[in-house]
Parts: sequence; C-alpha cells; structure tokens
Amino acid sequence: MNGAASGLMEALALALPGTDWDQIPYGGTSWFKYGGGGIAAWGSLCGVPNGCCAVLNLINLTSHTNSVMGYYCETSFPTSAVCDLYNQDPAGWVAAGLQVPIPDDQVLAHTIARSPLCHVSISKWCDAAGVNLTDVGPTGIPVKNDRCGKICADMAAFTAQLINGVAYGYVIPDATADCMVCHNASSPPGTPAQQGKMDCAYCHDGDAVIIAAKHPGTSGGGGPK
Amino acid sequence: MPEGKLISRRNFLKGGAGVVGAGALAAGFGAGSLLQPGRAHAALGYLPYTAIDVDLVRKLAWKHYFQSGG
Repeated sequence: MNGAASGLMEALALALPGTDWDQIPYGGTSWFKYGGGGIAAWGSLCGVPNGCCAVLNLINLTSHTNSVMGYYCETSFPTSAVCDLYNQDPAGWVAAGLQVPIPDDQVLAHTIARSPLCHVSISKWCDAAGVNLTDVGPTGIPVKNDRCGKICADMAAFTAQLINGVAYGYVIPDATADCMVCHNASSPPGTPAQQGKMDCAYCHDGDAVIIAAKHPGTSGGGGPK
Repeated sequence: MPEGKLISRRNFLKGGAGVVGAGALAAGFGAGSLLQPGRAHAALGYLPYTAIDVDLVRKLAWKHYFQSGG
C-alpha cells in the first residue's frame, strides 16, 4: 500500500510545490503503511490497489477507484514496464539506488488474479511460478517481492494515467453478472443477498466449500476458471 | 473496553482531570493551558492535483516498495 501511495504522493508533491502536498508524509512515515499484505498479513484487499485508491480519495477522484479495482483483477501481472524503464538507463537506475528488476523473460509466471485479494493474487502467482514467498531469484531478493514491487509500480502508473484523464472502462464479467441476477442487494433470505463485484466462480465452484450443496444446478457458481 | 473500565464523562470530570479542566477554563485557555494545541493547523480539504509523469510515478512506486515497504 505504501509503495503505490508514496510513489503517487511524491510525484504530486514534486509537481505541485508549495501546496498542501508539502504537509503529507510519504515513504518511511507514510500514513498508508498499514495495508501491506492485505493488512497485518491477513491477505485481504491487496495493499497496491488500496494505496492507489487512498490517493484518489485524497484528490477527490474516488470515481476512478472502480477502474483501479477492475484493472488489478483483470491484468496479467507483472508487466514488463519496470524492466523496460530499467533498460533505458541501467547505470542510472543503479546509481539512484533502485532495486534491479528481474528481466521479464526470466519472470517465472504472469498471472491474472481475477480477485483483489492479496491471498488469491499471491497464491495464484506462486502456484504458477512454482515458488513460495521466500524463494530468492537472480537479483538476490525473493521473486515474490520482485513480482509485487512490479505490480505496485504498474498500478501506481495506471492510477497516474487515470489522474491524467485517461479513461478505463471496467465491465463485470458475464459469469459474475449472471450470478448477480439472483444474488444482489435485494435478494431474499436463503438466496442470499450479497455485496460485491468480485469474480464469483473463483471461489464458488464445485470444489469450494463455500458453495452450498443445496444450490440449484450441478456445482453452482458457474463460469470459467 | 471491559465494562468495569468504563467511566462516564461526568465521573471523569469529577476526578483529577476535572481540576485541570476547570483550571484551564478559569484561565480562559490562556498560554500554557494543557488544552491548548501546540500549533494551529489550517483544515486540509481535498488536495490539488495535476497531470503527472507516468514513468516517474512507476519508478517512485518501485523505489518506495523496496525502500520504505510495500
């Protein structure tokens, strides 16, 4: 959370000197350090979109938070963008004290989380990459950290684009929309009502304990995995 | 908070804090009052924004992730 929020806040402070941004701490004393690991390692909302949305809230652009959540869920991460930036000036990158990224062609996996949860996002990537959270890669740091750092940078950059006026339209996937025909804010008890836009099928499938055996149909949930 | 630890505002003011509060009131919140904030702050509303360099943001977010925590 801190990485994405601080990156955006430092950029805004640099762009708008002499404004209230001078009063807002970023980096080591950031207000947004609590969200890392989905808050206290609970694996709830990933800190990256949380930090991006926090900054959008500071500048009264909460209308863009839906786009942040959607982009996080449906983008194949990590992208090559950090590596591309590094490759423009490797010596300058190192001289600035920045962590060297793992080259994109050596990244072990690129995955689409289809969930805003840190728990789902990390587990899905670790499974695809064949690693755990502490396995170290060629740059001397855990490959998971290289992956999450790149997502942090990618999402902060995406949020910067939103701030700059670039539009992004998120559409709820058809399978989830189908579920919401019955499971919505006004559903009766037993259906039940629900709050959310998260991909239903990722958890509510035939193998998940969350789905009730009494649910109509074969395995419930539906939709592709 | 455990119920036994709860204290009403009235009872709180009857105690030692009430003495301080009454004293401060008598002094009209003058200099040195415990109730006077150390420094006045203008109320911050929403912060201003402008177009920002996307690649700079990408680099700064990467930097902060590793230097001050994700």
